[in-house]
Amino acid sequence: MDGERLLTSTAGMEPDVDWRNGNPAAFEMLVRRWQQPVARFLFHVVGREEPLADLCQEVFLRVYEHRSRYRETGTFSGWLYRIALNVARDALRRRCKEPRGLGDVEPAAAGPSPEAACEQAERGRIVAQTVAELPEPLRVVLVLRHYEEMSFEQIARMLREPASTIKSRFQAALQRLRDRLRFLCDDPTESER
Amino acid sequence: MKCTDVRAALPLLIYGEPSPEDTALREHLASCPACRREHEALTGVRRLLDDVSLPRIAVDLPQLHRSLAERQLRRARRWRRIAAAMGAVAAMLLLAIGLRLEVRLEASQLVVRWGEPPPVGRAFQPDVVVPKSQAGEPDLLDDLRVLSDLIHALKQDADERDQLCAERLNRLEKHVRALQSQGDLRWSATEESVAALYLLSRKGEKP
Repeated sequence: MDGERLLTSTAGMEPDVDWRNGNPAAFEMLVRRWQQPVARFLFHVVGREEPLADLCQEVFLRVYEHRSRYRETGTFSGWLYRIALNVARDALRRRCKEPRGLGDVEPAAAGPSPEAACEQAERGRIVAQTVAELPEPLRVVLVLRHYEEMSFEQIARMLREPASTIKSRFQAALQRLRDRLRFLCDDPTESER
Repeated sequence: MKCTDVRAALPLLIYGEPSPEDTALREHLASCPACRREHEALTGVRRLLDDVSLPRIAVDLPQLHRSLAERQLRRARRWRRIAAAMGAVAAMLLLAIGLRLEVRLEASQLVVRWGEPPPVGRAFQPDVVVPKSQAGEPDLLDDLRVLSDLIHALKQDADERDQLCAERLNRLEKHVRALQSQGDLRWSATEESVAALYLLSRKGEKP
């Protein structure tokens, strides 16, 4: 997981400027570079795997269509995640119901043994379900800080809210997870890790 | 520091968010087992978040390009429709202004007028007065029926007169022919008489 996240880390990934001029090759490079972070973000915010490919495509369609609105004064990742967040909100609004957790998730990495892999997959499913049940404002901040490794200031700029509000939301999100995942944290195997 | 303040600040500490109270927090954690357990629990939550398996998504680039092309086409079509609608509205407005069109809703009628307005102070008087009773009313039907009978009677009378005239003409024609034949006979008798007299007169000169 850590390895994968490092490979798809969004830090310092500013795209080639040619994509804004409609260069197809530059745009394709941008899509390849950002598809996994966007998918990961949508996965955690929307909470479903099934429409992820469609949602990702919608994000990049909007990126291409609105490329003239991108200002280089801000970070590209902030602009991209704002679009992704709008797409995620649209998807949630369409469904008009709470997001649910993961269905069939392709494991990113196999564990040392089938039992351990199975246990980790089940634990991951429960954690993802718990994250998906957080209120959207808390969930978005948690995902951006933990999975996308954005600083609170970046998140604050992206969501156009004060950094203190973002920090409060993050604290609340982590506290809620701590309360709901207490049974996993108190697992004796956790202390051995 | 109080335990409540420390626990509120723990999420930021775990994620390495710098704070001027970091040193005080760490000193408190070293001396407070309850807050230390909370710190460990939150650290455990952070580890758990990494246990989530992520789906592998690859955007279908050809499909993406197709969708972009379709959207651009749709947008162009929408703009064309909007431009056509605007053009139609502008044309109607120009027509209305050019014709000085006036649409007015009165008590029980919709008035549509164009061109110059009627002179002020003179009420509009129609040139042709249409009688109130129109076709389909009983008195008019009776009038029409009487008129029809009258026309038929006149026709019959004219036919009879025509027939009488024709008979009279026939009779006159026969009479003229008879007179003509009598005249012919008399002419031939006169010619014979003249011829006889001529012969007699010649015989009288010869002796």
